[in-house]
This record gives sequence, C-alpha cells and structure tokens, in this order.
Amino acid sequence: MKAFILKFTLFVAIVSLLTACGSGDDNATGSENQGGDDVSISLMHYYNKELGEPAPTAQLEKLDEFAANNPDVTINQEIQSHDNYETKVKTLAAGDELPDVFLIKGSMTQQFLENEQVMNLDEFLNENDGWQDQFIDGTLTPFQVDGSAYGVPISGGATHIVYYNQAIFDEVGIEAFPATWDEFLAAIDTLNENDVTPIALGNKGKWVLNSSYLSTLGNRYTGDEWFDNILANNGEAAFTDQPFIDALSAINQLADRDAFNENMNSIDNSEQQALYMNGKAAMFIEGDWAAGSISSNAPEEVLENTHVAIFPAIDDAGGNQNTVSGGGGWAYAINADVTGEKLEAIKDMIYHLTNEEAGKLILEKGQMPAIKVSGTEDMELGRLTREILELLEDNKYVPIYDTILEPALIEEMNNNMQVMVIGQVTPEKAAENIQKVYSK
Amino acid sequence: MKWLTPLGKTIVNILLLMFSLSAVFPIIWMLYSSFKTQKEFTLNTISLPETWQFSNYIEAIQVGKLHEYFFNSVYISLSSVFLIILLGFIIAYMIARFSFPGRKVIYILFMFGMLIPIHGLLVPIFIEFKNVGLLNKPYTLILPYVAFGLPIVIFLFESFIKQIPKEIDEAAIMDGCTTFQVIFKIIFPIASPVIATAVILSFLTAWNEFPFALVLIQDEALRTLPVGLTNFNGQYTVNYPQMMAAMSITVLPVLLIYLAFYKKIIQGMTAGSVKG
Amino acid sequence: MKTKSAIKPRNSKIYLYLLPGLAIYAFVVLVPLVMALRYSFFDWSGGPNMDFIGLDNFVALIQDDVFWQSFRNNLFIIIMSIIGQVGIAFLIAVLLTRSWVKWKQFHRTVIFIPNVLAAVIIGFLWSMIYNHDYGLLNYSLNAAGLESWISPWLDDPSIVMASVTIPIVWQFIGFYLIIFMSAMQNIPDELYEAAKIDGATSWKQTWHITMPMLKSTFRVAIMLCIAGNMKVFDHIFVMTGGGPGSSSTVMAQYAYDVSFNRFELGYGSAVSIGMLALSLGLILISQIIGRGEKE
Repeated sequence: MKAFILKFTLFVAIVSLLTACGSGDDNATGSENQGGDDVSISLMHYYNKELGEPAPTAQLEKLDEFAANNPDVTINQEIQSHDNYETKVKTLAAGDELPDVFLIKGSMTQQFLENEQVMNLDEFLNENDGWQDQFIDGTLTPFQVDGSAYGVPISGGATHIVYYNQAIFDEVGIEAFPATWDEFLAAIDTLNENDVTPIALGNKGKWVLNSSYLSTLGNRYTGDEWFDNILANNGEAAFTDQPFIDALSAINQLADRDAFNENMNSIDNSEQQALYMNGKAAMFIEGDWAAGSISSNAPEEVLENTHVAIFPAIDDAGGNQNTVSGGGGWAYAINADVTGEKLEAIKDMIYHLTNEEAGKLILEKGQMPAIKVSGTEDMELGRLTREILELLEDNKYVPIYDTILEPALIEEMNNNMQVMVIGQVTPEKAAENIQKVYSK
Repeated sequence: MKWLTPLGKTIVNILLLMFSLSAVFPIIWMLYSSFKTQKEFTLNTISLPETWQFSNYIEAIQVGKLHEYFFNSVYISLSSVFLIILLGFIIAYMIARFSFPGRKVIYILFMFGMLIPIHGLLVPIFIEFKNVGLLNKPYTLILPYVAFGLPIVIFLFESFIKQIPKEIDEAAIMDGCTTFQVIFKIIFPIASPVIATAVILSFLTAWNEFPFALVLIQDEALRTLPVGLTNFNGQYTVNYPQMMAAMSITVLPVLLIYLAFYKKIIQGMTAGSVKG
Repeated sequence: MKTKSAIKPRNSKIYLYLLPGLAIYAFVVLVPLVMALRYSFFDWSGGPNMDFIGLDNFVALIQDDVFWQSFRNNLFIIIMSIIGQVGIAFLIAVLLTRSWVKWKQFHRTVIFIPNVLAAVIIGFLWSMIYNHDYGLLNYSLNAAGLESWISPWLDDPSIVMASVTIPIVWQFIGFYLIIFMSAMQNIPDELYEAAKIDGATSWKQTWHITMPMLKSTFRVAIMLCIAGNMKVFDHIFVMTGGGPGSSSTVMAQYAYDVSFNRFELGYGSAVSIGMLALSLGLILISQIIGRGEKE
C-alpha cells in the first residue's frame, strides 16, 4: 500500500507539474493585456492581411491608422478566419462572452437583439452629421429591426453580377449582351449549339443560387412590397404567391435549357470561376468580389474580354427591372454592456472604419463600400471595378434574401433550389416546401 | 486443398499494390501541389507545377502563423498522449482484470465518449470552462483532448489485456510486485503493439483537433496548428497551394510519430511475444 | 467474464486508480452532456433568454424528415464501412502474414498514410476523381469503352451516398489494419504451430485460430466503426456540402447546422442527444448480434 501511495503521489505530481508550468505562462500573457489607465477595446473580426481580400485589407489599414492616432486606446484583436468567425461568435454569444466590438451578418441581428447582446446604434448614426444618410440605400436594412439599426455596414456591393466573355460571344455570333430575358435565353441556346457551357455554376456551397440569382430575380417578379410583407410576417405575402414561383421558374428555365454545367451542385464558387477562366464557359454569375480573383487569376485573353452585366429586363415581371441584389455583408456591432469612455472610443473607431474615407479605401482596393463615395471619376480603379461601379450607378439595390431571412428558411430555400435545378422538384413544389418552413 | 491458384495470387498482389499506391498518391499530390501558384492550381488541379514556388512555404508559415503555433501543438499533443496512455492503461487494466461495483457503469460511461457528437458539446463545454475559469489557459486544451482520447484507448487496451493470461499477473504478485508494478512493468511491455497503435491514434487526433482549439482559446499565443490552417480560407477564396504547403509541414510530425511507433506494431509480426 | 482472483486489490484501491482519469472525463464529457440534455428542453438561441418547452424539441425531432434522412445516410455509411473497412482491413492483415504476398513492408507502411491527411485533402482529391468533365473516373470509364456508366457521381441524389462513402471507407482501412495487426501479435504462435502439425491450411488456420482469437478485437473494431461513422461530416461536407438538397447530409452536419447556422441551440442539443441515443442503440444491437454468434 505504501508503495502505491508513493507512486500515486508521484503521478499526481507529474500531472500538476504539467498544469503548473502552464499557469506560469498564463500570468505572463495575462499581464500583457493590461494597459494601465488607457481604454482597451476587444474586437473580433475575420480580416486576414495575407489573403489580400479588398475590404478586409482596407479595414486593417484603417485600424492601424486609428491605433496610431489614438495612442491611449488599445485594441485587442481576436482574428479568426471567415468560416470560423461565425462559429466562434455564436459560441461566445451563447456563453455571454462577446467582445466589445464584433461583426454580425444581417441574419444574426434579430437573435442578438432578442438576447439583448447588441446595442441600438440609431443615436450613434445620427451623431455625425448626415452620416446615416451617406449609406447607400439598402445597406443598412439587413441590420435594422423595427426601424432601428444595430450594425454599421462595411462593404455593400452587389451579389449579382454577370461576368461574360465577349470573345466567346463574338465567336458564336452574339454581338452584345442580351437586352431582354428572351434574348438571354436565345443566347443560351446559341452557346449550347456551339458546345460552350453558357453559365458556369458552382452551387455546392448552396448560397450562389440564392445570393446571386434568386434575390435579384425574386425582386424583379415580386416587387419590393412583397418582401416587406414577408419580413413583417403579416400574412399578406407567401412564398407560394405566383410571382415568387415565377422567379423560381426563371431559374428552372435556365436549368431546363442546360444553361449550367452538369456538375453544378458539386463544385463551389471558386470552381465556377475556374471553369470560366479556362474558357469553358461564356458566363458566370457571382457578386462584385469575384472581380478581384478574375483580375488576378484569369489568363490574359480571358481577362481582356471579360465584361459585366446584370440580368436583362423580364417582360412579364411585375417589379422594377433595373434592380440588383446587394447591400451589407458584414457590419460592426457593439456589445450592449459597453458604457462610458470605452463606448466613446469604440464609436470613434467604428466611425473611422466606415466613413467615406474608409469607403474610398475599400473601393480603391476593389470592392464596393456600403457608404457613398464621391469623386470616383478621379480615382485609380481596376477596369472591372470601374465597370461594376458604373453598372451599379443605374441600378437600385434590393435585399439579398440569405443575409436577411431566417437561417432555417434559407436552408430550406437553398436545398430546394439545388434539387430543383436537377429536376427533382418543380418550382411549385419548391415554393410549397419553403412556405411550409416559413409558416412554422 | 489449394485456395488460390498462382494466377489468383498474382491478381491479389496486383490489387494490393494498386491499393497501396492509391494510399500514397494523395500525399504526393499534396506535396507537389504545394509548389504551384494559385493561378496554376485554379486552371489545372492535377498537373505538376511549371515552376516550383518554394516561396509558398515561407508565405504559408507566415499566413498560417505556423512558427507560432507549432510549439503549442507539440506541447499539447504530447502532454495529451502521455496522459491518455497513462490513465487509459490503468483504467483498462482495472476493467479488464477485476470485478468491482460500478465496473459495468464505468465501462458504459466511457463508451458514451466515443459516441458523442463533439459539436453538440461545444457550447456546454465552453460555458462550463468559462464558469470555472479554465478558458484560454496553456493547459486548457489538454483536458478535452485527454477526456475524448480516453475512450478509444481504453477499449483497445481492455480488449488486449483480456487476452493476456492472468497467470502472468499472479506470478508477478507472488514475486512481490505491487499492482502498479504489475501494470507498468509486466503488462505494459507485453501490450506494446497495442500501445503503439494507441499512441499513433491519440497523437493524430490531438494534433488535428480543431473545434475545441477554435472555441476554448482566444489568445493568439496559445493557438494550435489546425486553427492556423484555416487562415487560408477567405470569405470567397481559398489559397490551396499555400494551404497544402502548410499541411505538408504540419503532417510531418504525425508521419514521424507513425513511422517511429509502427515498427513496434509490426515487430512482433515474426516473433510472438506472449507464450501462453 | 468476471473474475475473482487472489491478486485482486481492495476496491478502494481500484477506485483510487480510476479516479484521475474518471475525474477529467466526468468534468469534460459527463457534466457538459448533462448540460446539453438540459438545453434540449429549452427554446434557446444562445443568450440569457431560455424558454422551457418540455419535450417539444424531441417531438419536433421525431417528425424531422431531414434528421431521419441523415440517420439513414449514416446507417448506409456504417454498413458499408463495417464491410469495407473492417472486412478489407482484416483481409489485408491476414494477407500480410502470407509468404506469397510481395512488398509486405511497403504495404504495411503506406496503407495507414491516408489517415494522417486532413479531410479537406481527401475530399478535394476525390471530388476531382468524381468530377463529371475531367474526373479520373469518367475518363477511365470512357477509355475502357464503358461510356454508358459515366455519371455525375456527386450530383445525382440516387448515387451520391455511394460516391461519398467510398473515400471514407478507403481512407480508414489503414486505421483498422493497424488495429488488427497489433492484435494479431497477441495470438500465441504455438496455436499456429500445432495447427500446422495437424496439417491445417493457412486459410483454415485463419478461420479456426485467427478469427476466434480476434473476436474481441472485431467487437472493438465494429464499435469504433459505428461510433466513428455516426460522427463523419468533414469529408462529405468538402465533397458535396451535404447536397444535392439534403441527400448526402449526415447527422453531425445536421447537428452543426442547427446549432451554428440556425442558432437554435436548444433544438441542436436535442439533435445531438438523439444522435447519441441512436448510436447507443446501434451499438447495443451489434453487441447482441455478436453475443448471439458466440453461443
């Protein structure tokens, strides 16, 4: 027995040694974070300098600038990659451990608000003269609940841009990008006859058909009011309404005409770009962010011939036709518990990150900011970025379904569209399924 | 009676060879892809690199912060494996050898651990760790790694120890060994093949573990490699060549551990160790 | 099974030995498990607001088509894996003891290698093999004159499960192989020698000595197979994202989606508890079948 006790103590000693040397380190790192009397802000985001994505890079530069201008403010950043960020922020929310400032998506607003974890930003948005009105129409909407804003959006580009290869169009005899939906369908037939995949589609992530197709088509058919009613859940609108079914049918029509590559559900958005860049497809449809990777990765002859457009007007559709889905992607939210001096510092910081100056920088880097930027004519912009900017000037943003609607509903929508384009459900049936989840 | 004709044997040999080659191909593909440019990879995923981009590795280390996270991963994985083997072996020995009240219950409780979907426990564990102040410590991750690593090694050990004749223990006790000595001086060496297996498996699991590393650690200085490996995923883009460069680096220690320990597994293929 | 023996230490001593491991395990696994069980009775989106709703989550779970579809998908993977992983691994383990099998050392070393690779790599590579236009599989079928077999392997809901299961089976054969190889060393050589003297062929020896001696290893392997495949997720996610629709969604992905995409943590806990219950059920069934064979 004695021997046993000896060995057991030894074992416990080993274990505690392992943990003890750990806690030593811990003290060391702990003291680093305490910065005396200064204000210290904890901020969680997904910006990664090395990846060179436009808006994140711009935000990091602005953050550095803010830190340099405000030596009394310490910003403790927790950086996660984009995919992890969402998991992490939701876990932190569940444990009520959210940092002072964090990023939210439109669809998170409601839940964070219900749990009283985000601050009402209406006053803040009015503190700086006319700031609120500087945001492009539709970019604040995803972060508003009952007319109050809970997030300050950063970038706000379009999620629907048709990138097309003029050289391929020329080859098969399509002179200009089609001006009507019927011409668009005819163009698809022509491309198919010439053995070119008309539209490269990579919908494995399931969001492409929703963000880049349905959100725009939906509004073209249903108009604005329908979606407001859906959001208000006032019984005035349903997903089984004919205009929404027509929007689904429009996508279905594309699939029926073999507009897409056959493996559309098993490749992702970067692979759809790859198909396009390899010259195997005449078009692909994604948001404005894709301009960046086309510019840096496409072979010269494809890049030169790439131009942008949006879906042409649809004759028999009831809504406005000069619309494109767009608006806020991510926005800054402030922890509801923050007060006093810290809150003031945070407001300064967020303003610095999202004002017109910051917007300019985002645009220069190649993404559309959420805020209006003046004097773009004189700015040095990439060719595609400028084309997109000009394209968007004439068109109005309409809501991106999957940044606003409830995640469970989005999931149902996305799943149904995936099986619809391979002919497993009809648009009517898909609409019914979506409505079933909506009315739950 | 002949079960296989010479032709049959040749076919089996060829099939086995094809299978083995298929097992090596992915790692070779990962290695050469890690030297391609993003552009090359996008345009053709299977071709060899045109020019070898050694700079991918330097960038991969910077982007993935591998130099910062490497030590954390080594320290946490090794500590976890040490504790898993030590604690797991003791528990397995007790369960395999003796009957005592609660033996079945303990066995079943450990069985739970193998079945639990980790994502389902992520939030409760986060909240529990937060409440007792265990978040974000240098030893934080060791706890879940040990706890979730125990069940599988206990089952492996237990089924192995049961096969070892009890007379061996009894003889040792007669010779004056304590229980502790019996476990670690007598049975442990006999079980070395299965221990080698357990070391490989638990090191692999701890080294690659991701959800806990993401959720329970806030501090940059405490992060582990799998979290760094996700730095290559942007919102809309993935830098595959750099990611593969980073993965090639991180897979190396696992391969080394595997090669070091797997010898133990096969060394007895020719000479049996237990003479019962 | 149970043994009384002269060398048995006192119970208190046994418990003392068990204590450290059990304590860590209880803290990290059992307590949170109870917490998850509690959450499953609430409508909770992860903040201070929790509404007790009794068994509503479980009622919803029983009527949840996607959940049951994912369970069927898991079942499919499990059955394929028991045959494919455990079966093939055992076969290879036996083959590697045969004198006429060549390059044994090479096989033993490399078959495990896929296990060390991340699911992203495996998934990505197999997506390329399955790719409709330039994938290796369709290319080979074409070259072999089997054009009619060419399929959109990952895009057709009726075959997608088979397509995603093959890589999983393939990757983990090495895992079971080392388990069998390490267990086989525990079989006394004398048994084989005696059999040889009796003139038993090598396959007879496998049947009458190796298989029975490895009974408990088989049981462990099948259990690991069930447990591991109830939790698979990454590979399939990389290959298909769970689609088309939800045709290749598995339970772990569903639990993750519910908890972290939909943010329904109460229901997410119920899904996890449901998974745990189903896994336990499967293991019990497999144990009963295993025991039935023995008698």
